[in-house]
Amino acid sequence: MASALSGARILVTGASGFIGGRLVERLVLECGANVRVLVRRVMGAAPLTRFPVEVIVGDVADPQVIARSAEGCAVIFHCAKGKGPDPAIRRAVDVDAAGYIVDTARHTGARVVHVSTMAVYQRPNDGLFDERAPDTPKGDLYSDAKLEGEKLALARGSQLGVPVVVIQPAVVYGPNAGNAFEMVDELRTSRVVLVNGGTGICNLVYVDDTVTALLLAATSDRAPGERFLISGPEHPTWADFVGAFERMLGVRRTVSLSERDALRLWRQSSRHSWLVPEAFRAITRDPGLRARLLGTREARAARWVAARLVPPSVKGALRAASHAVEHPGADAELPIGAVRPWVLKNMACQARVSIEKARRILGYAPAFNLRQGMDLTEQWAKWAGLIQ
Amino acid sequence: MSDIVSPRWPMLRVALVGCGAVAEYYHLPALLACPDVEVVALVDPSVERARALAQRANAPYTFSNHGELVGRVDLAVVAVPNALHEAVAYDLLAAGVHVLVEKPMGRTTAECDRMIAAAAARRVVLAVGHDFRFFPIARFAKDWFAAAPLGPIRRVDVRQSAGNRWPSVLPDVLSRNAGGGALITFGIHLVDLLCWWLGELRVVAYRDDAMGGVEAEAECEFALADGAPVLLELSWLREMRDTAIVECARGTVEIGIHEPAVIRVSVGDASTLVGNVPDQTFERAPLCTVFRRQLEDVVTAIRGAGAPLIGGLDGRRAVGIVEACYAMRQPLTRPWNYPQAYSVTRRTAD
Repeated sequence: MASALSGARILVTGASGFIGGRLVERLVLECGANVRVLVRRVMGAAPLTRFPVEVIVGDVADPQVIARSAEGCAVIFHCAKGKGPDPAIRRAVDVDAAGYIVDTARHTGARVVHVSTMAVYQRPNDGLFDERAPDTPKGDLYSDAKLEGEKLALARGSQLGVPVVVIQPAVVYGPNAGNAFEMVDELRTSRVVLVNGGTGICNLVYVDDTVTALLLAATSDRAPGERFLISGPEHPTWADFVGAFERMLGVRRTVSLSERDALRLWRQSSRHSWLVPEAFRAITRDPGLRARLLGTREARAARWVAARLVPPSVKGALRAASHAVEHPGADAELPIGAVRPWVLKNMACQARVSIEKARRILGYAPAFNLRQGMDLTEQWAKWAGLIQ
Repeated sequence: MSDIVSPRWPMLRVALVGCGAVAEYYHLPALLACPDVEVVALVDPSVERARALAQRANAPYTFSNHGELVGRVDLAVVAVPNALHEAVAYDLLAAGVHVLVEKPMGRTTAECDRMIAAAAARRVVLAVGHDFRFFPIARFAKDWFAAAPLGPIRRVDVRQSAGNRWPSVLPDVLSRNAGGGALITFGIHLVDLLCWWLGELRVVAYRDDAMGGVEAEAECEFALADGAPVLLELSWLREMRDTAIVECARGTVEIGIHEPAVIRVSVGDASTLVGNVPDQTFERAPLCTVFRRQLEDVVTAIRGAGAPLIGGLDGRRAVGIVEACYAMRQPLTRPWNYPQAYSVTRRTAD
């Protein structure tokens, strides 16, 4: 696998991201590849330029940038992911860029490895599911754009004779994962919902296993034109996953709710502004910010007004909230974090990813179980200052 | 603009050489806010960028090469990529132009020496952009350590995020051509500050995470003249404490490098003081204020009122320490980076 990429010129989009970043490291160090990275802003490449990589700064959704970046490349890994609430921006990266990349690969003779997601499938309630599961749009911004992107890449690849491989990872975790930052943050500032005691299957894959699958997709003769679900070697539950973070932080902050009750909590919370919990979190995390905000003239005026106008019952609640900020151990007073409906559905789901096709065709063999993956994640979290 | 010319001194004609992020966001606003200078030229290989900044400054000239400046300017602010500091600054100094060159002064002490010699030969001012010295907390710390109210220093521990949100325009800043990574590009600010506060630093050990490229993280171990250990840890990758903790014989002082400049003083086991260092002019855009103060210092030096706060020898000293660090480089590895190499058992199959 590694030797096949030795000396090859390779483009990685989304290289400053979680999966793309780790892919670059292994392409350089294990494969000896000649890596070019496409990043949106210069300093996004700082973790990557530890290695002898070539940096191109530009917008992945610009066909001219893609053409320039892909010049002379034997493989293009499209790891970039659309972000934010604007569907147009998501589509530009997840769909349009996927098309430009395949178009460009036609001229350069490159293979395209397209990173998609397990979320494109309609999962059954339980049992194993594989690449034959239904994959119609669900009305969700993320998974629908990813679905459209992978279909476009495969269709255009087939039409133009470009070898395209789609990798559909399960929930990817590990050092630098967004879900690690979020989980630590949520367990610090709230109680975390586990649907039905967290008995649902959390299909997890450690980042290095995901990258291994990407490398196999780039080199396997039988991979082009196919899509592969990628998951870890075992099927941990949500209680296992969240519990690993609780142990890391030394807290017990999960709350078991039925899917119905969790949905009710979401509906109640979604009537409120989004700004408030975000501001609460920011203030909770940053004592300097808290001190600065409370020291502003507006905050002093607001406190003066509140002292005279706010009813005693509300003052009591505010004092409790303030206490929770100052004393994060006061668990009972922490709010329960509301969870989005589609996440709740996933948390209740017992369906397990089958990686049989990836095993059979790519020779994929996941190496990291949850304990091993979380051991490494914990070491990273200490380094990153997320935990003591 | 001539209406506000000082009665004593004609305005200094200034060129901004290099129109990247630091020029656009900090040097140009500082120049435009200074009543003693007139921006006459913007220089950049990218004509578009030079023109865009020239328009903001209402400057008559834009050039793609600094050679055009000779005879047209009194002072040049050199904010080109690190690899070009010496070439550009040397030419200008040798032509009798005063120079404020961005940090690092050069990539090597040899480059610095040529610049110092050129400035001395033409008797012009050579100042180096170690702007951190113009933060009020930095001046406070300088006075604090000079007074040594807590007695001799026993140990220093500095952890600093290295500005990975900096809006760089070109990726040169992350290339080996820049002379290195987080240490030479950003950490050199801290190296200069520590020397200014505490005196000479001897390099004891150095580790960084570069693997064929430039470091995103660095750990420097220094010793003060009396042997007290100094640890400086830098990162482009993560949030750090951003303070210097200095343990002294009778207590500990912790000083925030950035705004808001926090100071914590503990004396013995009993009393502790915590507070912000107030400075009204720092309430908005503190780095702009820092750059304004830096420019005022250079202008004052050109007017003949003494040397600039950070001259060529100071710039050279910081580069020398960085050079010594790189010469002793040991690899800095993280366990999760290559788990295969750290005894994590690989499963071959379920």
